[in-house]
Amino acid sequence: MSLAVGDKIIFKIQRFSSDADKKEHYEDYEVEYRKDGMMILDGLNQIRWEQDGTLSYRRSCREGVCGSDGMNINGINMVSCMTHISDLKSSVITIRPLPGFPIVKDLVCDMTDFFNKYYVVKPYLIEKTPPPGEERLQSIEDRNKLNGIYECILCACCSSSCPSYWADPDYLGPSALINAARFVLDSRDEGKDERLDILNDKHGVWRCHTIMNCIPACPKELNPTKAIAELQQTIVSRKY
Amino acid sequence: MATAIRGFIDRYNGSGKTGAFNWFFQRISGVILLVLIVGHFYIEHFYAPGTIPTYNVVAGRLASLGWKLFDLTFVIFALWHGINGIFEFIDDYVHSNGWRLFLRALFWFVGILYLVLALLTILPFSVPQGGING
Repeated sequence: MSLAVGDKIIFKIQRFSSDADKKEHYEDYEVEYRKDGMMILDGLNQIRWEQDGTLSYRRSCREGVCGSDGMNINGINMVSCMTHISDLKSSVITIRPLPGFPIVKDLVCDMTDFFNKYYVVKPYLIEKTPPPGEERLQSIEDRNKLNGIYECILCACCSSSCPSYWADPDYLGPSALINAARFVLDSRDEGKDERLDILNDKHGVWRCHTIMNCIPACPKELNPTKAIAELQQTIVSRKY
Repeated sequence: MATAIRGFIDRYNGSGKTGAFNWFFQRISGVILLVLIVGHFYIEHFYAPGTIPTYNVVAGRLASLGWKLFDLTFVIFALWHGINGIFEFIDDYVHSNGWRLFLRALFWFVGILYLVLALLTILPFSVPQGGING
């Protein structure tokens, strides 16, 4: 189905307020397709600003950098500001909050657990020796190893799409693990061993069963499964 | 949290506390099983074409020490691989210590039981003199 400016699309949005509701329910909103290239976030803004001011969702930079607006759109996790309405090719668009997280209100989830798991992997450069000069230099080859890992915006689309993450509440999840890989594979980092000790846990890298839901979920087209496999390989070759 | 202190039961949860050995050896045993299965398939169907694998043919084979070892290796790796896979499921889905203890104990029991049955079947097996009639 192709969209023309002026067409109407239905946004079917899951509503829930932890204060007032016992159960989630869906509400339909009519959104006008006002310009080519319109994003899902533009549609949500249209609803909130013109129809229903009680609709809650997170957004900030509206250009796929802040990672605030991860949500489940037509069954797939994505960030609403990077998803063209026309790409979905459907006249009814179903929007739910990210699966696997407690809902605070409508599309807003409680991300406390998600960020705690991120902090567990020590997502910062660990230095043990003073820098050789003014700064720590890195060769172009070493820097290139971080491509496809460092771009993570912490939108939680991957972790929220992972069945292992749903099943085991303690599993660190693809997002924390790809961010761990970002430092483990960094030539300048000196905290490899302590970080790998954290990841080498029943609830760490070994809970990944290569289901690979995280790959299509990532709006930045990263590959958390591959990053986790590299961590598993590093741990195994360190140990055996 | 992943770094939380592990409880009594977790400390005795198998060959490796972290799951690294179980993960690694699951892959190795998988490859070994693949080789054994392909070998088994080849011997059953292509090694001696025209031979129908009747009881007598299999019994004759099982009488030799080499075949006993082949079948035992098969059983041991298959049991380890399968039951370790079930342990992975338990780690995924069962979070209460009591249930974990019960299920792990149950599958340890199942594994040992099958191993004993396999040993009893394979090791003392011999063909009576003059072959088997019928």
